[in-house]
Amino acid sequence: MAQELAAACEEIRLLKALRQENEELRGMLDLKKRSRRNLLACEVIGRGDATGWWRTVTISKGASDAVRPGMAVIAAGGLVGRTWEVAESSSIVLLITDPMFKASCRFSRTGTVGILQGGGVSAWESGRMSAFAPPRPFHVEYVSKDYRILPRDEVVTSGLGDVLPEGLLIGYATKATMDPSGLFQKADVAPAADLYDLGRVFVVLE
Amino acid sequence: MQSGGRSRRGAAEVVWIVMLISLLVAAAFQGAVPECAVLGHAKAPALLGIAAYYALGTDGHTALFAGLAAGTAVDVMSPSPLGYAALCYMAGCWIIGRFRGLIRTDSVSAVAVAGAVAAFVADALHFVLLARSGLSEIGIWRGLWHATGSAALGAVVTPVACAAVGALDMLVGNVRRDAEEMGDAV
Repeated sequence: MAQELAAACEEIRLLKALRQENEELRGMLDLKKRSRRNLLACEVIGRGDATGWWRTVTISKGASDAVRPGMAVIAAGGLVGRTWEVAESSSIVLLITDPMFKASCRFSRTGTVGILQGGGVSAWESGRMSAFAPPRPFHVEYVSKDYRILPRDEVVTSGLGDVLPEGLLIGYATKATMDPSGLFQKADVAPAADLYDLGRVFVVLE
Repeated sequence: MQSGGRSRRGAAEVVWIVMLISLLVAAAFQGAVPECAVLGHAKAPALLGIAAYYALGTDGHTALFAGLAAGTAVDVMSPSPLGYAALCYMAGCWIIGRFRGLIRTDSVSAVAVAGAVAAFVADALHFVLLARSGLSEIGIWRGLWHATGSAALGAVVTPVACAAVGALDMLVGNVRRDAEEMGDAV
């Protein structure tokens, strides 16, 4: 009886895991059907690097699958990062939260453009160590001061500079402040994709 | 070559095999253990700990080779350009080798301090190299925070790495305790 119960419990756990995977794959299939872009599905096979200097993930597709450096990587929620180093059968993706990540972006509601940069927080901010401060994954700078930025304003890639394709959802504005110079404003942005739970992603091949 | 009441005896090939096995295990550990956000996203420098063991107990050439091999492994396992971490780890090993006479290798705290200093030097130098080549834009304070975090983790990891490789060396006969040697002589 106890053995049967243990076996049933094990089966339930397995079915739960399969249901979660099924839902995840359905979501990805739905995204691929909805998208007009040429998407390549990849699995995330590693997180971080051996030094800790960069915020990266490693994906399961590389040059043999037509992946090239600089291609956008998206998840069901939105933009995740861009391919950085491409090997034959795997690639390193620089996440949007890394200070090295910079891209031109646009606020959907107003159409005003800005420069998105990951992280960008100093070790010491607002009188306390930023490690103990609320996280600020990335921010948008050089936004025209003539347009008002509202909380939950959608931020997408602008397509300028030919680095990333136009219209990929990046995240939502959380807070806007005027730059000390008074010439432009900047905004904190919360990512649309769940960067802490990346299992499967797409590389935008165009 | 003396190392804290131990002397090196084994065949050269076995010394290299032990070094290779230690570096492979340390590489797997360093790659698998997540970075520590509170310590500036620093990673536990297990590979440098292995290199530090050789810097503390062998001649300069072996120590520099261990630093080169450990650093190259780090370069391969990260987007860092090949040779950057290798150069930094060699610098860390050189620092330890330079002050080897002052470090009591049988004292855990002395080994921890040596590991912390080597990790700080290697990490700070790596940051300078990356920043100068435009591969890091995290700012000097965050870079220093990362190096300090690496030093703190180095202080913990290095004594453990030294004890583990020392035990392995002893197991295969590369190193013998001086007391055993004296017994043999009698």
